[in-house]
Amino acid sequence: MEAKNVSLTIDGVKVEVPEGTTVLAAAEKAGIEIPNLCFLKSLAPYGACGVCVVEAEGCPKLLRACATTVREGMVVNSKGERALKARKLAFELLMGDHDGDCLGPCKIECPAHTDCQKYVGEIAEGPTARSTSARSPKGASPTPLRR
Amino acid sequence: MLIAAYAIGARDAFVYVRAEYPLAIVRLEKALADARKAGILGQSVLGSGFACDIRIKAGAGAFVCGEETALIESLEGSRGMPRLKPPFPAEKGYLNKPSNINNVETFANVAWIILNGGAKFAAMGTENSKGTKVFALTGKIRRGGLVEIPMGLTLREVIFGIGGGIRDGKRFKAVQMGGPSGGCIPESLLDTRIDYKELGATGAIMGSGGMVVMDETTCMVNMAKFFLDFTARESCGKCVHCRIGTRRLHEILTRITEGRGKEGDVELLEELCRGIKDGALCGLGQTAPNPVLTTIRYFRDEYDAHICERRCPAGECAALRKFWIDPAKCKGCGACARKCPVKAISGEPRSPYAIDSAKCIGCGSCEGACKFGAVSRV
Amino acid sequence: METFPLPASIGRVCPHPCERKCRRGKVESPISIAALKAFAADETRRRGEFAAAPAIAEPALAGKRVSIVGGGPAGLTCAYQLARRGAKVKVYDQMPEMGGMLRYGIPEYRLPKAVLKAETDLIASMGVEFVNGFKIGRDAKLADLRRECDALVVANGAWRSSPMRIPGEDLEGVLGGIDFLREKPRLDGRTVAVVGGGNTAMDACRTAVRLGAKAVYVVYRRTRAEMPAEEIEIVEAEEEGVSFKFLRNPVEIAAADGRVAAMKLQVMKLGEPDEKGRRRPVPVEGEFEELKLDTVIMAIGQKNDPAGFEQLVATDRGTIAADSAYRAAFKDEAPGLAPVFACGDAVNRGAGIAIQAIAQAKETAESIAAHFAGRAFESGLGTISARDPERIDFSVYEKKPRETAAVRPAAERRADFGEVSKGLTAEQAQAEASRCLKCGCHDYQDCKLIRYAKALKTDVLRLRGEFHPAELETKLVSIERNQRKCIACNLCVRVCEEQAKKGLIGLVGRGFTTVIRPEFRDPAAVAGCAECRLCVDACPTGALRLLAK
Repeated sequence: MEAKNVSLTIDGVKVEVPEGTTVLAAAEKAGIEIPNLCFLKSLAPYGACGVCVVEAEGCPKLLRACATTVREGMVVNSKGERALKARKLAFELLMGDHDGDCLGPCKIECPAHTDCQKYVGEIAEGPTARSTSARSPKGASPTPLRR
Repeated sequence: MLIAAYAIGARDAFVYVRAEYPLAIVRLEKALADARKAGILGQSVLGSGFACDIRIKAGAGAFVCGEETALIESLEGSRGMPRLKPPFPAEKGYLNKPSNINNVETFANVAWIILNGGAKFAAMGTENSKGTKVFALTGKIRRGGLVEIPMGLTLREVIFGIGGGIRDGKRFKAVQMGGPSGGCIPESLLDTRIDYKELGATGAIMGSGGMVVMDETTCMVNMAKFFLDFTARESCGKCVHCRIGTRRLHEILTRITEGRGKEGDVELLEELCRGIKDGALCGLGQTAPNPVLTTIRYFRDEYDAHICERRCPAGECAALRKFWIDPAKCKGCGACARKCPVKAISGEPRSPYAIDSAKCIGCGSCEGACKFGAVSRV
Repeated sequence: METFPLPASIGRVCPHPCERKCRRGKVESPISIAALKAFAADETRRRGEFAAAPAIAEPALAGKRVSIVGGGPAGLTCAYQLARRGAKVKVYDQMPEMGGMLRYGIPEYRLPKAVLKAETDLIASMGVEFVNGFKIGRDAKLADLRRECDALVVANGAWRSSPMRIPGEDLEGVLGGIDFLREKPRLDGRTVAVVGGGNTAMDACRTAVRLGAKAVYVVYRRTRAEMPAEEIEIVEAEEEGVSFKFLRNPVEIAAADGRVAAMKLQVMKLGEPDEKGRRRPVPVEGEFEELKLDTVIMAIGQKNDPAGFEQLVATDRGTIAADSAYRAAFKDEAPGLAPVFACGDAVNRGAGIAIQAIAQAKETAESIAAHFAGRAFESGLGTISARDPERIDFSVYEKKPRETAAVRPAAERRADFGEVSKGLTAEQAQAEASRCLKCGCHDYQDCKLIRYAKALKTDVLRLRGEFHPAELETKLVSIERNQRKCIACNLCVRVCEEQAKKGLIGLVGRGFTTVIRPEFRDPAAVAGCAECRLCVDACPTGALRLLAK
């Protein structure tokens, strides 16, 4: 049986995708990134993070883009007020519960946010290590603080 | 259930019962055994050739397993967490097979309808809600218990008619409809009819049919906190909005009942409630904010009193309670001072004693100790 | 070199606010971050490996001409960051050499000019054109420069000494601190008083010693404890023979034979604290002291010189007004002209420390790039998660002493302008660097949570409450799990179950208290882990990390 194509509009952009595609995948095709945290292409949709919620015309509830299959003529708004509020709330809740340690306090306090840890780490490794350079390409920061 | 199974051609049926109802399980097991003996369940129901049996599955203490897909997960032996819907159970249910899932009360109506006819059933109730509903009438009510009533009776008729009104001479304040995920309905709405739409318009839900009646000694803020304590603990933890959101709602309500409310807290609660309702994956999260939203809607003044005046109008929140000794009634016996756990009461024997409100923690031990009625709540 | 091109210079002169927040300070003492920076930079130069950070692709800036007025730390950093992005940059400066205050304000004994030159030479080698001896107002009008470029940056610093506003200030023998440091007139046999308590005052008094002064005083209206200068500067000044007069405020300078002869000092006492918590100096009525001297150096502050820059919209305090994207404007703006940007000591709140000027300059370059690329510019780090140090147990670290660089003995060093600090030795540097606790998250660059949180400008404190329980990390074979960072998205559980087909970890507990770990804490449960690292790759935060073998 031939797969039919479905056309829909996401954030004002028209896009055509095969039947059975999710709104998240359709948005990706349209060049629109809908934020998501618990989604992985190789796994079945899970619906835990609630970050990919979108509004759809005619639908009284918010839809999870990762788990919703496209319908012909669907009009989706990933940045509608209600969807944005729910998304922002998800991040406020997550960050409020996140005992993370993004950057060393030295980097935060430095007015220029210089990454001094990088060369300090290199110096600690000793003179036989790769050249100690004040040159610091962007990339991985040293290992996290262990407790 | 057997009729429903026959209707959809199902061979396996389950009754999911809370393990906390051991008597119900015993009775159900006996009923099933009797049914099998009578040939009503088994390889050939009443000799028809249609095979069907019903098994009992006891729950493991999770409120969230009342949600249909979480129930199915639990039935399959997995962790009780809801699935994404769609697909709905009718399409992919137990073991991913098309399944019909309903409350036992719903199924109980089926036999009656078939025996008496649909018209007779529809004759009871309102335009939107037909037939009868069972309610568990509890709280500050004279006559509590389980009642089955036709839809369409007003709350007033149930509470004051059937229930006999409020006991101990107190006044009606509110009724919590629909269990911990329901809403609180105030006196002004007592003439609301028991009907899905009408109840929904108040912000409450029909839910499981819980009706907890409250009087003027109930603090509505504390009541909201009490319900959130339950739903936050019962959250399965799968989705962000419910897992963290209900917890934060509880923390804010706790702060308010302990006298640490801040300006803007009510607005924050409302915003949090709306967001949780919008983002939660299942009915638990979607309805957990209801007690908060309804108490804010109908009892906003109580929230304001807690936050702006550090006062609990119902006198229930210990941290906000203040006690006062009436010097006219005080005999100076010192019983209250001896009972006070923080030594906030001082005085000379046979002279009126006084409470230092700065030290007072509002526990009420003095009120209990006084034999002369000299201690009262402020 | 990612942030700015002056590591050897800044490592030597920065008052290092970073060290105040260094968590090692809670063990025994902060890491000598600045000294290590100088060491790293010197080492790199010694090995001949001193080079710019990689170029940044910015097609919108290709060939765009940017003119920068001011070759100090701000102007140089801005030039460097723009040159990395492909712009054609020209830096104008009134002085004969580039470096600004780093060269003409900071003494040689703190920052040898040769070190600074190596760094400015690197910037020139990137194709940045240097035009020295060029003064706005005299050699060209600002408006002319603006016409000849695609973007103009004003970073001309704060080169005017703040006056004391007391009688006798105009006498011969009274010098502004900035001017004194720049001109370095011989002071053989003179008795000098430097008024002020900041680093400039320390630079001035120690320079006066080296220029042959017979006696050098520092007059400060509060006490030593309130002096804003770095402690090490005060100590070294004392060692070099500078005398300090605390709780004294000059009220009049008297003349004799047309020159400074004495300074009348009001005796002060400390009164109530001001808004910043520093106790206000209050005069002790009727009590004075007379100091006989012939030279007064005013080092109480510095302001920008508006001469030549009158066309720019100014703030109430007379500095150049720049908005949050570092945009400045002419008073009579006309459409179609090149945009004007401004940063550093000349702007908004006025003079600060070099690293502040550098920070602004780096962002100015980003703002310029964003302007031409048509994208929004956001200043600062954006949303991040910062750990409360109260939640960290520092008792697990073994105390190790802080390494400090050797310095030349005072009797020797006060006679010349040779560098006072000998810098850390290689052994010292390695010992000091290994004290670093390596704070921060290894996954910051890749973390999905923080990327989206920044884009949504999430306020992390708005819904902060109790944190979910985080069990002590136990190593799951060679995969480390940090429960504190886990957001319970369950990707690791699902990927192990559905893709790796092993199902070695699961959810334990319910709701807010759920944690993810091997079922029944059974080591046998993880025996089947083949370290396929699907879980580590799937994790959207830094909760999972593959440990090096």
